[in-house]
Amino acid sequence: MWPFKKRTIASLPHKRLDMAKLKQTTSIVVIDDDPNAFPEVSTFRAEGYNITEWRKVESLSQLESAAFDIIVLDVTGVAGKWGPKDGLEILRLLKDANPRQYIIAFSGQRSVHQLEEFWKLADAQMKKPVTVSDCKRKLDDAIEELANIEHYWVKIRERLQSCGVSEKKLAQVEDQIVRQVELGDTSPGKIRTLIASCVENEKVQNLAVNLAVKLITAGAAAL
Amino acid sequence: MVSKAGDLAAGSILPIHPTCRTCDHKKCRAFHGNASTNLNVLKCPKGLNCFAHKDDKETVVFIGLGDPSRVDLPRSFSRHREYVVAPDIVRQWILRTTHAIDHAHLVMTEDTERAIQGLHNIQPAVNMVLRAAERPINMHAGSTFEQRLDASTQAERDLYYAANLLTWMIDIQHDLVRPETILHGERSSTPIYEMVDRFVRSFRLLAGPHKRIRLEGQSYRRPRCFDSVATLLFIILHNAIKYSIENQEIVIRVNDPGNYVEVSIESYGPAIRKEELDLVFTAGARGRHAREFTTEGSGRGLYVAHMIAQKHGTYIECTPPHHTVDYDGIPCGTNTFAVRLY
Repeated sequence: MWPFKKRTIASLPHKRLDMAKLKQTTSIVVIDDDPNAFPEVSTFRAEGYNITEWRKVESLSQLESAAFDIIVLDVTGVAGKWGPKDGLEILRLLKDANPRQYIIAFSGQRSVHQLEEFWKLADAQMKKPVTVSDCKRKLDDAIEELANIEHYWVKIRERLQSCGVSEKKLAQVEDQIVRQVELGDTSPGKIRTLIASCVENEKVQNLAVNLAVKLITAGAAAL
Repeated sequence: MVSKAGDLAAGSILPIHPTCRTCDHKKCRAFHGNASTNLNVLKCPKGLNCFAHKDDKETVVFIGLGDPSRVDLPRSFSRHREYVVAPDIVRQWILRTTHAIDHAHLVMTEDTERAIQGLHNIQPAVNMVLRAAERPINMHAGSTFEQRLDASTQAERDLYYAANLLTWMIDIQHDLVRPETILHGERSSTPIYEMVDRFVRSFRLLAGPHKRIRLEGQSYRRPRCFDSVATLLFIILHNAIKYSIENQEIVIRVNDPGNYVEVSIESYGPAIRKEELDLVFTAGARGRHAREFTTEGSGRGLYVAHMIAQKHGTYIECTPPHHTVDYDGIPCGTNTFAVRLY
């Protein structure tokens, strides 16, 4: 019998998540001009979150250099005197500089057509007004997602499945990712070619490749 | 008669005018004049004329333009025995109708924008209420917010849940005003039981002492859902409270018998009829007995809930009551709404 064993993301050895430690090590910044929009940060600090609050963008270079793992960004009234004029421009700028930066769009203007790009560009969305419980859930999800390689795979899978990619092709993509994790090969070339052969949509391709590279980097580091 | 139909403009398939009686028996003489040879004028198989008006997006087809004596026409035309309508007058009709449609669309858009602006304006006040409700809870001892909430007084908890309810109400209003916003976001693992539990705590305040709400079952499963799942559950729960009679229990069950979480809501109120099962999920539609029971409600809630369920690849199962009893002349029974989240 052929000694073939299916390699999956779940079978990769990775460290067990310690949520308390992750909360401390994951730095979060909340940028919102309304002091009442986000629950008091002291509530989160008391629970071990490493969280900072800015009324507006205090240092764009700090954001661009990935000083924070998670950015919670409002759309209006957050821009400084110079540079980008609103949250949407900041979001575009940050995603251009560092596509892997995790940004949570935080706004009450969810029904405004002009802001659709703001919601779509961000990695997650948080709608105003927001309760403490909902806030915690969103932040915990983001922290887990940044730390857990399986989350990346779930996201990739969902994206590709929504484009009608077959289970066989998905297994091939998974196998390629696992192979690259084991080799520590973070170059996107092979995975991009494979994904491009399954999906025509360029946006979905780019997103899936970005996520795959994130997964490979995190997976290789955990090995 | 005006109908919107993109492919009718080609003139190949033209619908038959239902009131064309003359054409059934003899050849219609109405269009032997110049009108039928004009641009944009086509004939239906029964001899009725058909005018297509095109704009960038849509085509409006006018079929069987009727009796000239009923409309504002020059005197000379009313003397004609045949129903001949001059092309320029037809064009005027078309223009007037198009303007009317454009105006109606503009009013609708403005209304939506105004509603959104209104929601946005009250948001800072809602934020303040929320933060004010959280402050006294944070003064209690406890390492997490949930522990401090448990340690707080009943009055403080009530205030907190009332503020939560206000927040969710604003959320729902956004989704009702512009349902396409439910398409935002991505799936994330969602603690359904916790969510329903929080809704129930808030809804107990809303329902008052005469409507009891009981939560049964337990589930630790966290299916991957969109944020809008909260809107779905909220709408079904809210409907159960709104359309239930006093001194009757509302039972909410959350279970995970398989690889899914099932939320079912039973309430005793105006009976949904079997023939209305699909209708209640249509925009603007309400059940006959529900309309008799209360005038409140726009008929959009279940429509939006249905859209959200579809987005999750599932559906809302509605079970009408097996038997009904009349309350004030309205047949009432136990209606059940259930949804499975995978």
